[in-house]
Amino acid sequence: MKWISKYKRLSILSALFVLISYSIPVYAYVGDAYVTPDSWSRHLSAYGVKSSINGLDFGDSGTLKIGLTTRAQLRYADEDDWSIYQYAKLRLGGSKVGDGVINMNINVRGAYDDMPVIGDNKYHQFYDGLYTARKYNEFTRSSENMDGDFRIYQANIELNKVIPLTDVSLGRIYLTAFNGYKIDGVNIKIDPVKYLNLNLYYGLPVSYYSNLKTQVAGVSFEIPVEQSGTKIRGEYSYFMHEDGGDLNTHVLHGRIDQSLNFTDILNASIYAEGAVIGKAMVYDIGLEANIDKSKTGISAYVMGQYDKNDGAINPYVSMYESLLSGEREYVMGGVMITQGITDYLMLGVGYEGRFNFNEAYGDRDYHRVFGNIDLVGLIHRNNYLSLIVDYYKVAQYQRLDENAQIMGGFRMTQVFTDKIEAWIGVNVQNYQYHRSPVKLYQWETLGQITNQNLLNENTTVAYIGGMWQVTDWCVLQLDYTFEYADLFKAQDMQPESHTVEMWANFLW
Amino acid sequence: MKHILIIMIMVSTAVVAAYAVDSTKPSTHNNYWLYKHGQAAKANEAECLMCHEERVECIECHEDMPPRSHTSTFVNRTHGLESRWKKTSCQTCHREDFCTACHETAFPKSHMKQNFKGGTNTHCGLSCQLPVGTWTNTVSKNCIVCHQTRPQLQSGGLHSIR
Repeated sequence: MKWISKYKRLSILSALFVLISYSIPVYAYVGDAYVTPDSWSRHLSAYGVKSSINGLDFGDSGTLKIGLTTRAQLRYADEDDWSIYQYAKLRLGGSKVGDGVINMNINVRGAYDDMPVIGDNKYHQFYDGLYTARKYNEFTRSSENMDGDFRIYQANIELNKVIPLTDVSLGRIYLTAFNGYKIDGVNIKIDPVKYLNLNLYYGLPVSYYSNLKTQVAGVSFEIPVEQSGTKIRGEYSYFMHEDGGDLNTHVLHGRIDQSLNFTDILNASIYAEGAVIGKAMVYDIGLEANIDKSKTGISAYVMGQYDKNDGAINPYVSMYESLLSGEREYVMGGVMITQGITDYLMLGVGYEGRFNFNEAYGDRDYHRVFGNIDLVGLIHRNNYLSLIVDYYKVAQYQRLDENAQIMGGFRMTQVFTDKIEAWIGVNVQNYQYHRSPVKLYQWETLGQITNQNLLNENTTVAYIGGMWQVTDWCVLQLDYTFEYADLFKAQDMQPESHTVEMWANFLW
Repeated sequence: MKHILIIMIMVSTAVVAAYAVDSTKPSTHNNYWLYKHGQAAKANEAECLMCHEERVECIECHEDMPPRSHTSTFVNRTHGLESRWKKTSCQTCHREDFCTACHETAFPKSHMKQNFKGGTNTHCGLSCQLPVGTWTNTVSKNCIVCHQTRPQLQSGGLHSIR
């Protein structure tokens, strides 16, 4: 019996040790109290492709980074689905040539999906973007017959200052973040003087889902004034469609950024952006401010669309047209305030609202309020916990009653070592909506919607996962997601679904 | 067994407590960076690329993998609802080509019904993706999600509208 009492004492000591360890708060991240862990984005998606860590250094010949990742996804519910993805990345950076450097980037993805053959009219619960992409194998740019999926995210060569004052990018490239265009083509950047640079570009816009039949040519300028913290930019692009006519679209874009820095008092940035897309004009004005002493952050914006396009518009810039975005004028805005209370507690609240000036194809006005409570290193050293709530109230329409969506849950990440992290989270989404998802605006006088019963449905998502950097060149990740959906239960389908994703990264 | 569990917790706690992991991320990268990083990238993309030179993190969310919010409920039903008010959110990753491509290729479950195409009143009462009513209470409003022109009947005339 003596050994039992020993264990009892040990148990009490252990419990005390655990209690003390968990109750003494320690900064999770030295010097950056509210910075989230590296794997925090796993709460947004289970993505597990890693950036290369060090690369292979070849001196003046550059640094070579290689990444190979295998991803397997298994999903179970009434129906099953599995997919295997293979990623390959390669970047050779900093190869010196004369006074300049050469960089090369390749980032590709191959995928196999066990979904039914496209075109056989079989329904599958797990239809997704991969299935859709398979029909439009973008690598061929035009084929609709090829099965399988192969994507080139980027494949380019950059010649920076190899030619004096000039940077040349060639291949599948991203143009500036200003517009987010990705093209197969060329961009030439010229820096004639300190306070001006020019970009000239031409190419074929990239889509993974359709043949855009479009070319784009454009020019942009940037005037950075370091002393005043000002940056002025402008851009003109002309999108040319094979079919011509209204599908040839002019896009004019401008933006001013102004930073305001008062040491130890205020760091702020203000921006104003506008674009003319065909006949439509869109604008976006915003403010981002941080008051370090009071640990306060303020963000605000107003954006909208002024005037509209009456006719067709090039499909690559049609985000302001037709199905995805409606074709009418609107204004929306939002404000978010974050407040650090202690070194371990941060609160955030926000509001967002949208008003449409005309009732167009399904556009809806809404009010949104959201908030976070973030606990950093309070529960335990290197622990990050966030409680979230997000509420949308969608205003009633001429023939549609109001909708609502509310989401609540928590996200937690624990950093065990600099090589092991784990995450867990739960989200509950509640939808209150009526039967009709689409407003029948052009035919509304021809029929009556007789049954608009309110549906009130929950979807619960719970997930848990972990990442382990086995060596400098090997990172493994496992993630499991559980979903319970009232929607499927109401249809006499299995309401639970299970998803397991496994990732293996090999990085040099 | 209980004791072993406690000892294991104690050991793991001791191991964890021994580490204070330094973050190399800027102080801006907190929980609210999700809302703010877009404008920051527009303002100074070169600063982002100093660390994210391979663009893995950009591709991750904007091009490669759907977020956790895109549940099977979202895919089968609620994305249509949400796209009516969260359009600017959709536009972060999607353009019209994605909508059109999927609505051309992903056949709704309702379309698997026997004689769906051929018989009278066999297809006009069904909603997109999941059946939620009968033809008397869901009119052709659901058809136009994918079929944006009135279909032609075998007889040559245009399909009637209820």
